[in-house]
Amino acid sequence: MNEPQDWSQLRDSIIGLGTDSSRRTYYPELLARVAQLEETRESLRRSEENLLTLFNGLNDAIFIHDWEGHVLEANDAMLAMYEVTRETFRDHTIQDYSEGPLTLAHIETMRHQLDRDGSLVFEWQARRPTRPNAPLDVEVAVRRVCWYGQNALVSVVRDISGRKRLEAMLNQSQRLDSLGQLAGGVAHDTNNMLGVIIGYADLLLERTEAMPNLRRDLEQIRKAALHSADLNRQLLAFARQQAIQPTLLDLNAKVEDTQKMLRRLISEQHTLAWHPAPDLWTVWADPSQVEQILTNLVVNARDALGTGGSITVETANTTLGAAARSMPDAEPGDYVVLRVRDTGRGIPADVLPHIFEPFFTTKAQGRGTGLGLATVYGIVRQNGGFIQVDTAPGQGTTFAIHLPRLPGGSPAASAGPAPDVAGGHESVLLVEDEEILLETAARILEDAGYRVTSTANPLEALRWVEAGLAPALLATDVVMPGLDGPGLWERIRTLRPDIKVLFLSGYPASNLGLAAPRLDSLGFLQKPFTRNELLQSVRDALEV
Amino acid sequence: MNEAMLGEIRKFVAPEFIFGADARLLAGRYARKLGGHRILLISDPGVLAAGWTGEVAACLEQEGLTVTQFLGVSPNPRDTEVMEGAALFREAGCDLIVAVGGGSVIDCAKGVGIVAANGGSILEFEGVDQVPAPMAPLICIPTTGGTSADVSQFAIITHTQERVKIAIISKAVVPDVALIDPRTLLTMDAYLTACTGMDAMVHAIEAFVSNAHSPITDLHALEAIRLVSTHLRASTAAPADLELRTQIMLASLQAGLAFSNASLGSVHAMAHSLGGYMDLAHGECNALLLPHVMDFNFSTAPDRYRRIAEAMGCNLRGLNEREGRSRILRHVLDLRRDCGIDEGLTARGVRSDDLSRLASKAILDPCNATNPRPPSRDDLRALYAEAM
Ligand SMILES: [Fe+2]
Repeated sequence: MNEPQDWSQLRDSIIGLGTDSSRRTYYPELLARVAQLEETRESLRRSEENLLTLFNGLNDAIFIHDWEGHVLEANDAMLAMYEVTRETFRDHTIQDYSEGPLTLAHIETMRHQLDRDGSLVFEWQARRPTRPNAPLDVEVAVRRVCWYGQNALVSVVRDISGRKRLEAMLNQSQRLDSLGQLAGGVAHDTNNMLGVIIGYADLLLERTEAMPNLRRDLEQIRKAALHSADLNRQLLAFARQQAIQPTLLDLNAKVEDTQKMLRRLISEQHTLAWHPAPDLWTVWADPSQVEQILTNLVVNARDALGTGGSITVETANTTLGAAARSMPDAEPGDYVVLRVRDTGRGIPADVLPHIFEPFFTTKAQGRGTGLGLATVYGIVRQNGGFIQVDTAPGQGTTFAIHLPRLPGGSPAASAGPAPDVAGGHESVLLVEDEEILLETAARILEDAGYRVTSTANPLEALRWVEAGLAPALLATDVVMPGLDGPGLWERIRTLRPDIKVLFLSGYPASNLGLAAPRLDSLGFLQKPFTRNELLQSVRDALEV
Repeated sequence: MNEAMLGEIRKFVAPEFIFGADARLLAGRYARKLGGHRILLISDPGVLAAGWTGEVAACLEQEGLTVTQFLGVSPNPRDTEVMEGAALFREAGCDLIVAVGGGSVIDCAKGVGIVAANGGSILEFEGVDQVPAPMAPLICIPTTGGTSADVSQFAIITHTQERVKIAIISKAVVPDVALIDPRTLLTMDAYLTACTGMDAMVHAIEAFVSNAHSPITDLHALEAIRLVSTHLRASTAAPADLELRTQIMLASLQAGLAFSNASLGSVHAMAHSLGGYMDLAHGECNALLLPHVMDFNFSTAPDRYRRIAEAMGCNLRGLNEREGRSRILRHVLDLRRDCGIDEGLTARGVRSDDLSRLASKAILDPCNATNPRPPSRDDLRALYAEAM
């Protein structure tokens, strides 16, 4: 270090001629950063736009609110659900948007659950500030959110009133099903008893031609029994156990036929309008059941009208798509609709779920049986259809009966008048496990000249045939312990192929478990039956 | 024609500066215009006591700016103080620095700016052009008339562990604006006035004889020499004379413009080493070493020393080189003594066994690069010995 150093390079840099000492500008770098910022801002803007679209595109209402309940932000669905506007939604607190009171304890529980689970979901009743008396069933999902640096909550509110309604409808449908089973069982049992009463009354009437007083009393007994049997038929209709004879049916023609009868049902102060739809599809239904539906609905409408007003009956074709899924009884497909509309007082919301229940009536005591709408319900369900009810207090009521369309075919001609009743001398094997009914039927047949062998035990009947008994007709109950009617007939037929058969049953023919084509060639009699009905059926069966 | 003009291209760098009484009061306006919001105001307790720091702070706050003060600067700014200042700058989220004080305060402010912008330790930026990122805007308000740190591209920081000063030389440390206000000199005592005045004189002489001098730096250097020679004695005697203060402040500015572009010489190399070791005032060190380095350099650039003598009002006419050298050295020694700077290094606690160490440090100083006569370590040791 004793020699002077060479400082020349250092000197050059000190005086500012080194490569790194020239002045540089940061302008291009600044521009690049500004451009980058702009780009970031633009992408942020687009992202926010997208999120806003999503936010407002949701069907659920979304609130952002603080713990005091002040609403900070809301989406379009919220505005629609609560019927407020962008300008007014902040005027109300979460308390205003709730039907029930939000207590401090409630909020503390929420806070606790949020701390524990991070979120919570509960059912609630929402309140629309403009319609305070029409609460809305909702499901609320709550989460914590940091909203622009503020501790807040995001509440997602889903309208579940539709789901609730559907649940209620399903409940109603299930309730009606069990009621139907109960009613059907009761009606079935009483039918047998009524058959006995009517049968013996008929027998006695045969012998009391000379005793007018007695005859009159008997007629009263018979009338009362027939009336009870009629009630039973309605119960069975509700229970979908009415014996039916469905045919290809032109609903327009059928309604046309009933016009005169329907007009008689309503009073002068009411009008009845009839609007048939052109080119109406055909349905597969029992014409007398359709008449029953119409009668019941028109009577129901009349009773809803009070003084004045109108009833409109109309038909239409309709096709249901996926919308059918929102109705518990419906399935997608083509339907013919029979609509009965009145301008009456409408059905209150608390009554609506019960209208199809048997013996449920709002009419004054003695004015109705409470079976009208129940019968309609049962019939429509039995025919594979469903009912829509559209009503509001003061707005009238529309019952829309949907019957499934049957493709093609023309309505069958209606049946002719019943032939005269005749007896006979053939031998009849009568099997009926209800002893008292067995005895009644045997008496009626014997009185008419038939040779009757009767038993309450189907196996005994079989043994007799095996032992050589050769009756011309087997008249048998369907449901019996040990061996049912169709089974007994199958067994006997192998021994006596030319034997005729008549089934006596409290259930519809379709419940026999026999294929439809074969059913046509078999005799069938619905219980309870009158003497004439029994004799006619026996005669018909023998002459097949 | 000057040989430097023929031999190489040159550039001249100077910050924007405002010169004149009450220029300091523009601090607020400049800070706002330079985009500042939160200002780190760097000063020292002496300047604070004199009232300048508070006045500038008020001036900044009047413009709606937030001011954080950093007063932890000692007479020879330390690396540790720079790091403290940089930490405070970041902590307070500052975006502009205002330095109010002497060379120490301004050098410390430059160091704070470098570290705040580049991170790391201030010691990593030692040398020439070692500062990569530009720093936050820097406004300098000098309160002493000598250091010229307010216009220079130099920052001198004490390396505490090594007890040596390091030089940071970079365009990045040229302040954005200097507000040069002679009124601030009124609070200096006579001895500090003498020291800083002599510092300006050394800046001018070293810049003028520098092997990197140029016609533009020569102009400023000679004018500075003339101004100091004419007014320093009087100003030392009458510290309250604003007219004299203004002349010394102007001398300092001109000397600063000269040395910032022509650089310095071995007086500063040795003064940096000495000041770092003994914690002596920079101007005092310079004044003690100047005659001996002039003596060492004289024969290398006799013509330039003659022009210096001329500017000092020292007549060398008819004298040969040896006589001329004696005359000019006598002149400088007289000026120094008249201003109150007397005796040598021994009187200030330097011992003879310190000299080798001082020379070893001094020889590494980049200021040697522009000394007209390249010194060796032994040369510097001998010069220290003469100055004892
Ligand atoms: Fe200096």
